[in-house]
Amino acid sequence: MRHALAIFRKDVRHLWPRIAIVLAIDLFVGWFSFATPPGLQDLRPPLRMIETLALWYLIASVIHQEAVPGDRQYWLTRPFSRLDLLGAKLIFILVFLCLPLFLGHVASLLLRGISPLTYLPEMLGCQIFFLASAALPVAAWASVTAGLVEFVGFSLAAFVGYIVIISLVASRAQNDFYWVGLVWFHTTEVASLTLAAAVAVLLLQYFRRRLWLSRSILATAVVLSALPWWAPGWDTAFALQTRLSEVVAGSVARIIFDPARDPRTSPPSNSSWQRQDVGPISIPVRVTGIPAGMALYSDRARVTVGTPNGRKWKSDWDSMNALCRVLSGAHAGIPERFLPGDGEYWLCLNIDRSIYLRASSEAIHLRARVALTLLSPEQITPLALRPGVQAIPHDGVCWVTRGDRLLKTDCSWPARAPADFNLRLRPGGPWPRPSWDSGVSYATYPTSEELWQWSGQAVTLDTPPVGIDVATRKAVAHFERDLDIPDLREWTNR
Amino acid sequence: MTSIIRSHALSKRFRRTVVLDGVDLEVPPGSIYGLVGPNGVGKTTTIKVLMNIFPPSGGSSEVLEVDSRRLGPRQFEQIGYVSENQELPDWMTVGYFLEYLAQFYPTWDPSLAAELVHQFQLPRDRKLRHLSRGMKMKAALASSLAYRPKLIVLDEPFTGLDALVRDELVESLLARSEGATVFISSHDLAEIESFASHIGYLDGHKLQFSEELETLSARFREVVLTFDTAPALPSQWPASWLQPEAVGAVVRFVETRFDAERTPAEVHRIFPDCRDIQAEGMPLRSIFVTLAKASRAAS
Repeated sequence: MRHALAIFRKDVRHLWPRIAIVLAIDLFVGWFSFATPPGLQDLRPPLRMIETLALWYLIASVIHQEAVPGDRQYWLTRPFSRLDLLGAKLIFILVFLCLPLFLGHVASLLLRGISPLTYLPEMLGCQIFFLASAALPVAAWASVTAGLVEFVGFSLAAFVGYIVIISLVASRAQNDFYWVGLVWFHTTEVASLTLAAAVAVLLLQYFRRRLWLSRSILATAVVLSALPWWAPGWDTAFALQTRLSEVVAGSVARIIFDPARDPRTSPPSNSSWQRQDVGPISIPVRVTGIPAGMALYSDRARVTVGTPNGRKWKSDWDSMNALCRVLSGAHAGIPERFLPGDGEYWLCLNIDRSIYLRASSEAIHLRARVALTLLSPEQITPLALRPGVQAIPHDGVCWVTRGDRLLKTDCSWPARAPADFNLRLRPGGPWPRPSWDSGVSYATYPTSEELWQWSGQAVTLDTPPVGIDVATRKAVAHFERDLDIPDLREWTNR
Repeated sequence: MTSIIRSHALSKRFRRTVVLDGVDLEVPPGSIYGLVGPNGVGKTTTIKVLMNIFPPSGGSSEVLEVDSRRLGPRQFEQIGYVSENQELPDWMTVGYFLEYLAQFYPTWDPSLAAELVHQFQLPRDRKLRHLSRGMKMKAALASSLAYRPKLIVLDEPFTGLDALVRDELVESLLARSEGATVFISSHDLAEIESFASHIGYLDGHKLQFSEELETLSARFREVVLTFDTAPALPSQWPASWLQPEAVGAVVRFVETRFDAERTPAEVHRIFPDCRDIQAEGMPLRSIFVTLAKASRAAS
């Protein structure tokens, strides 16, 4: 430990100008994210990118002080234990990267009048996620390179390789890039992979100096991290989500086929991705048993169809498959996956085109499984139409920005954003939710190094509203429901 | 104590290129062992394998009675290693470099370090990157002597240095390495000859011989035979006679196993008409030139 501290002090002595610059960037970006000056919210992502690159640079710099590849470094024959050397680098990362992140979280909570102790586990979770998905992988990456030029070159090569792999699997993945509430599963998968690869490489490099094996592990990790796009593992994701959730009675949210519905009320085609292999079909269903005040969100659905001659076709958990409703009034015709209570809905599916074309002439057997999220009763908070920070329940804060015809509301909560976020205009009522709300996460633990989770909505209006409310709901439970229709003609022939 | 450095059938390959092939080495304690040989024969690789910078591809080696693959902090506390192309932390000043390293050596002697800085006229507050090659080498040597290592390993330490700096380094090395074993690789034979006690000759990826410099010098002689008329040359020369050549009534060769009684007897057996035999000692440089030529001719 004494030697590790000596190496650490030496690194600080040499790198202090870089440390100062990175901490200044950290401070500025932290302040910017916290204060979010009106009209400048769009600068947040590029600033985050600059901060990320600065952190990477600092990590690479400290690792390269004692570059592992090579045979000419003076330290190779000095009495440094490899454990001390690795320990010194980890101490550096903890002190100059993790600690500022932690202090930033503490400061942001204190400035909002929230006790940091309330969110201590979440803050520690952010640290773990930061180490697993950023700091240690970057350190591992730097440990297989001899200097910054090589580090940047390898990083660019890996990035290009990753993009190529993603492009190759994109046709297979279709629109499955939208993880929405289950994004935690994807980020956990990737973070576990990067953590495992990073730990293996750091141990191999510092204790065995196995350069080519380490580089192979990192290359494999890059390829594997693209794998979830190709084989997302929805079954596992939904099963895990259900297991982590509260158990709900079977009578809650029962789905019943409702063939007596007027076909003219069916939603517009949702096959907007111009897929040639499937055709859209909307099946009328009735959902019952949603507890009073609660609502449902339909995450995804998968379907199996069979023809009388024994042919079967099975979909994956396609992102275009879900229970939906068609909005009326000012937003008539827009399909939404948010189901506000018991009532008539549609099971919007994409099925194999050849079977789809025979759906009205042959007895097609359809079985669907729907993944659902039960949402708590909504909490409505009025917001003033003025700039500046406004507090909302669950320690959240919102900013309202008004443009010429644009009204934008951004809100953030420590640790966890609500599962459903909706703006209500006065007058005007609810605004349709975005099809793929990237702010939604069902995670029970932090899956990002950012403590504050964001959600927001922008609306375009001819006349400004008198007021707006933010309606939020929490995820109460996740579960799956089945629907079995032995002969689709009962509906398709109407 | 047994050998400070010992290797058995040590080999090293880089992909398909063989650099070392079955090197057997014994470096006795207290010796100044010069590992010599032409450029590119594997002197640096041998040292890097011994210092656990490269893993061996085959065979084994021990340094300070520890398998070289297991050399760790405890052994490096007793080893001073300086190499011509070592990458030093250029941003450090000489003073900070020594202060920094002092923390890792239990036997670091600050007064010895100060003496070495003074002796080498090293500017304490100048950054290593701003030092000349010779000064950098002196700084590296000072940082490797200040803890009185048991083993000093120097890889081509004099390359590119002017004669004055070289002499200074050698003088300091000899003065400060009392009781220590010095293992030094070099192709500067004249320099090595002036202070080495043992010599190992590496060529053709193998250690051709390894022995005390005294016995080496004693067994190599340049022999000149004089005849009345041009002699008839034998179809087969003795194996220990290298580079035989005849010019008129004079025959020259290098005897690699010179013995004051045996060599003249052998000459008279092959050349009964030999009128005169002159055998002169050879400088190390000539010995190695002869060996290198013989090795090349054989291959």
